[in-house]
Formats: sequence, C-alpha cells, structure tokens
Amino acid sequence: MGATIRISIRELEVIAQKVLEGAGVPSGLDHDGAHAVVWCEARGLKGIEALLCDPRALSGFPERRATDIDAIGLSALCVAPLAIDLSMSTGKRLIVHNIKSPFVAIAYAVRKTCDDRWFELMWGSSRALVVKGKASMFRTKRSFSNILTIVSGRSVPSSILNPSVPASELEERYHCALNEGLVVKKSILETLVAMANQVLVPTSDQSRSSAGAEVDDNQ
Amino acid sequence: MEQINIKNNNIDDFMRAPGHVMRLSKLGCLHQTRISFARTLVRRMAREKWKITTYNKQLDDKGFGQIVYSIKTPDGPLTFTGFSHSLLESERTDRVIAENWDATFVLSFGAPENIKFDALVDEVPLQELGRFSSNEFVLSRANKSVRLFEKLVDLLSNGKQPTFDDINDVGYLMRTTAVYGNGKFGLAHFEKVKSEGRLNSPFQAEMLGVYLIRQFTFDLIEHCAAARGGQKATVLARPIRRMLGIGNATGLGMAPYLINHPKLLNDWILARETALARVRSIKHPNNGDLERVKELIGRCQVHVTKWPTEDNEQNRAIIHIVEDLFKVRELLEDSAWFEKLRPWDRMVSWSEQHLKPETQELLNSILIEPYGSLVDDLGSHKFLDESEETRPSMLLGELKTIIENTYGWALEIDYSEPFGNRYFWYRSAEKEEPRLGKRHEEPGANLEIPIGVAHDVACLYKKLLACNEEMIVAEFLISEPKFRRIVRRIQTLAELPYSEIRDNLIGSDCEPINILRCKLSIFGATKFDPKSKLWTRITLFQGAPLPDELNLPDADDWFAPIFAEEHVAWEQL
Repeated sequence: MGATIRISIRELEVIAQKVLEGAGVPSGLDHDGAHAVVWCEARGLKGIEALLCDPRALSGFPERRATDIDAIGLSALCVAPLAIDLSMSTGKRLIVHNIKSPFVAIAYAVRKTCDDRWFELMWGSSRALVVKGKASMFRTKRSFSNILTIVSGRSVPSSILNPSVPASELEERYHCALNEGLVVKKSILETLVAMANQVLVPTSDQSRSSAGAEVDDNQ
Repeated sequence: MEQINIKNNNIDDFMRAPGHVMRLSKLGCLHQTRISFARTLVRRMAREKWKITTYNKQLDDKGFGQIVYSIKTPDGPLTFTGFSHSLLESERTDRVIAENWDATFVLSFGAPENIKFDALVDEVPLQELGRFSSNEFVLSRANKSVRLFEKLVDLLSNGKQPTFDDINDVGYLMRTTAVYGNGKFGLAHFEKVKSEGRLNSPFQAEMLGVYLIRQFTFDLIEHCAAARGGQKATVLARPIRRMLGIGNATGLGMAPYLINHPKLLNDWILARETALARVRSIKHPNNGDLERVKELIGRCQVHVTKWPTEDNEQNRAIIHIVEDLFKVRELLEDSAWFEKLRPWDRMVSWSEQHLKPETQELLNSILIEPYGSLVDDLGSHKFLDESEETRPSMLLGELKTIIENTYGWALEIDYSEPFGNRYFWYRSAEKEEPRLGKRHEEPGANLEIPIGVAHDVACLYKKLLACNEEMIVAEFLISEPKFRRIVRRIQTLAELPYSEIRDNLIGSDCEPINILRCKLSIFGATKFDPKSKLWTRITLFQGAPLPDELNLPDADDWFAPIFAEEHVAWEQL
C-alpha cells in the first residue's frame, strides 16, 4: 500500500461533489452522489472506488422504458436517486438495467426511509434492506451485476436473516470514520483533487478584482 | 397570499412579512442584536462559568512564539493555541490567497497537557496547506493592524495609555482573514463537534476562536511592550482592553454560504423577527424599559460617531442615523405615545415611514436589547437537519402552485440581457476563492455555481407551463434532471418563510456586500466598513467582557459600546 493520508468525511464529500459537478452530473444529483460516496466510504463500502471506476459512467442521462429504467452504463451515484424516487412514487418494483456500482443505491435509500418506508435493493447475489435510516446487507460474494432491482413499501418489510453486514456494524464503522477520519491513498486523493479542480476557473487579473480586497493593507 | 408559518399565534400579528425583510436592501442594513452569536456565546460562557487562563507563554523579545490557553467548560476542557510569526510587509494582505500571516491559531479538544503541540507547530502556520486531526476543530489566522499595534506597543512600553480616539479610530489590534471549521483540512466534522456537547450551536466554535484571538492580542502586545520598555512598561488599562475587539475582513466567500444553507438562514432570521415581534406585542412597557431604551439611544448616538469608515455611502448612512435618532428621542419624550397600547409596535411601524432603513434596523436592535428574559431563548440555535429532500410523488401542478405562492417574487424579475443575468458566481483556481464575474466579459460562466435561485425558479416555472400537471415530480426529473436541485429546494423551503433572499443574485443590481452584512450582523459584527461592493471590514467583540469579567453584573451590557467617559447625559445630547 502506498502513502496514505487521513481526511475528514466532510472533505471527501466536498471533493466528491466537485468531481461529480466537474463530470457534468446535474446540480442536485451531484450532491446526492457525493453523499453516497461518503456514506459508503465511511462504512467500508468503497464509495471512492465507485466514484473513480469509470469517468464515462458519470456523464449522461438514463432512459425511461415502459416499466423500467435503462441506465445506459451510468453509475448508480447519478442514477439511483432518480430510480429510487420513481420507485417510491409508483410503489412498484423497478428494475434498472445497465447500471454501474449498484450497491451505492443504498445510501440514497437510507435517506428516504421516513414515514415507515422501507426499501429492498437487489443486485447479483447481494441484497440490502433499508429500514428507519439504517441498512443491513447480505452478500454471498462480491457482486458485479449491472442490474439493480428496487422494491419499496411501508410498514412491515421482509427481513434479512443472518445479514453478512448488519446495520449495527455499518453504523459502528461510520462513527469510527466520523471520529478518526478516513484513510485514503495519497495517489487516490490527488486523482480526486485533480478531477475536482475541473470546476475551478483559472485566475486572471480581471478575476482577482472580482473577489474582494484589491490591495494589500497595513492599517 | 403569502403565509407565515409561525406556530405561536399571538406573535403572528407582529411578524414582519418575508417579502419585506428578505430583500437585499433590507438585509444589508441589519445590526447586531442581543441574540447574535457573539452575544449568545458570551452569555453562555458566563452562565456556565467557563474559566479561561493562560497555560503557557513562550514569546521572544520581538513577540514571536506561542501562547496556549486553557478553557474549562462544564462539558470538558479545550485548548487554544496562538502562534505569532514574523511577516514581511509585502506579505501582509487580507486576501484569502495570502500564504503568511502575523498570527495563526487552532482550537483543540482536551486539556493542554494532552495536546500534541509538536504537530501543531508544524501544521497551524501552514493553514490551508496543513493537515489536522479530528482533535482540532477551528483553524484561523490574523494580521496586525500595524498602525495601532505599533503605536500601542510604543505607548505601553513608555508607561502610557492610548487615547480614546486611538482606540476608536481602529477598534482592534488584529484582523482575522479566515476562520475555518467543519472538517476542512482534516479538522473535526461538525457532527463530532456537536456530539462533544460544548459548542452545539452553529458557529459557536468559530466565535469562541475569535473571542480567544482577542485575548491573544492583549497578551501579545503587553509582552512586546514589556520587552521594549522593561521597567517603564505598563499594561493596557481595563477599559481600553474592553473597547478593543477583533477585526475581520470578509469577502465574497461568505455570500454563497447563505444561499447554500437556506434552512439556517430561515432559522436565524426567524429568531430575529420573532424577538422583534415579541417586543412589539408588549402592551405597556414599564418605566424601566423605557429608560433603558433611552439610555441605549443615547449610547448609540455616541457609538455611531465612533464608527470609522471611508466609504461614502456608509458615512451618509451614519449621518442619517444620527439625525434619525433625534426623531426617535422626540417620540420617546412624548408621554401620549406611551399611554396607548403597544408603543413599541407603533414605533416600529412609524420608523418605516419616517426613518432611513439603517436606522429602522438599529432601532429594532435597540428595542430588543432590554428584553433578555423575553428573547434570549431565541439565541439558542441548534444544529439543524439541513438536508433538502425531493418529494417525488408531488404532481407538477402542485409544484407550480407552490412556486406561484411562495416564489411569486422570483417570477416578477426581468432576467433579460444584459442586466437580468449580468453576473455569474464561480470558484477561482486561487484557493477556490468565490468570485463574481461579468457573464459576457469574463471566462468561466460555464463553471457557474448555482447562486441565482430566482432565475432558476423562473426557468423551472417556464418549463412546467409546458408540462402535464398530472405528471409526478419523479418522472419529470428523469427526463429533466438539470432541475433536480431547484425542484428539491422549492419543495423543501416552501414552509420556511425567511429561507430565501428575495432578489436576483445574478442581476446587475446585486450588491453582495448586503449578503455579507446580513450574515455578519447575525454573527454579532459591528462597525461595518465596506471597502467595495464585494468586501467589508468589521469588528467583533468590541466592548465584550474579558475572560475574568464574564460574571460581572454588567457583563452582558455591551451593545453599541462606548467608553464610560464618552457617555453624554440624555438631556445634553
């Protein structure tokens, strides 16, 4: 493992938002995606990896089919919020095809579990149950499926017996990240920062005068 | 019809309408109130009997080195460390893009005995380039007001005190140029600060940092004077100390914050407006309250004449305040006015007809001041859930109706070229400093940050007019994801009356200085000294009690501070 650096979860959220914004993710979805990156990374679910997996997966719009959604190869970071919103509005099982990093959908589902709403998310051989702001997961092996199935309902959800990653463990990981920060490879952070910097406007004399104090001052 | 969602019905009648309050021109006239953050922090420190002491001072003869302070609170200890550095004149700038400063500071959890100072010595002077742990939670830096600092070192080293004019001309020994918190550069995330329990309101940690910087400046200047003058040297007289605050230079960086934290803005303005409404609802103020208001008016009449600024517009406003306060005095002497019900309510209404906007807001702050028992609870802001959530099942017809009812003001603005969208806000590659560019004259509009809320609302509304009103928001956003942020904002803020600044923030009329003034007044700033439409200098904690004065009977009485000797009897003004 190369050199590492400790960053706060807030730093990661800010950087991730800029990466997504710089990649062309629409305003609003960029914040949802950044939240998902942090939610996953702080719980040991490789949120940064999802962000970096393929820059092309952040650029474009999903297509609505009769009953499903075709994510056209886009990341769940920018498709899952749209799909989960649709699923909870219609109350129907929704399948999202051609989606990358489907597991990050958990993060947005967690945000939408108010008023007794629950979500069940399935991809490959993995399942996540999201209830009352917490998620538990069942994974037989690392899953590379590109199909995400979303089921949503109210009151009593089905359950996951013997979850491989219980909600309590995920929350424990989060509190550890909150208190201690996140350890990331320096090279990864540099890549993220370089991508985030795409949202910055190069400076010029004209831009300097648009910022505030024009002159040094020793009063 | 505009609705104000205030649960306390008997106060409803006295609340000012958001359409009146949330205009830039109005927000740009706000003043400190007793529920501003600086005031609230000082009351809390007094109430909880915080102990602030110097733990360790290691400064050389030139005043370079470090001072460590121990802060004991009921919820556990904190440590504040200030470093004093040598700085070339050519490097001294208020800009955020500076790389060196006269002093740098950090606030840490835990007692000084448990702080790893070696790491702080290396990292704190670097500021944005340093790395911090979640044990540190506020990072700041400041530059000397060289003129006053040198003058006072000279005077004190010769056993002399400065004149009142020396102090009033500047008002502080150092000026902060940035105060960072909330996870930046590895600092503790605000969730952790909140969970620690000691500083569980927004910006209370940052305000504590600024208050301690003030103490640092006193200790530093007295050290420098002693080093220069030896036996001849003296310390700052207590009244002089008390009238020295901390300066601050604030630029555009603060402006996007208010736009991006609309729930906080609502919470803060709602508190202020509720405080004013409670005072307005008083049927018959007692004589003590009336005398107190008179005393404060008299104090303000002196205070504003000690308000240093070279800005012509601000100077005109100060002259108007002086003139207007005489009109208020006449009213206060009119016994018939106070025989009728609710004189304060009528006075606020009267002021809007007869006084300039700056005096209207100053008068509101004055009227709130005597009523601590009535309003101080409103200063206890808690961290809010600031998330904005989409309501995907909402029909587009309903969304359209919400826009018409709560964002009607945005639909009335003319966004046409070139004036309606003259500016764009962006982040510069220089330390990500927020800047304001002219859309058709500068590059970077493609990287605009979404500050133009009103414009975005109008664009969405135009789009909705062409949509099926029975379509749900979730379906709409799949085909039109670019509207996701503004749809969610509208859905989230519909019930929060003071959450939006009701002006076109990308139009040619936008003066960002008004946004800065709004936020700074909520912090408790005074003596606004605009340097352009884009940045301002201010003073914080001028008149505030010193750490060993927190429990004096008059510790909370520092609104519009003046030297006691400058006080002029009511009848002599």
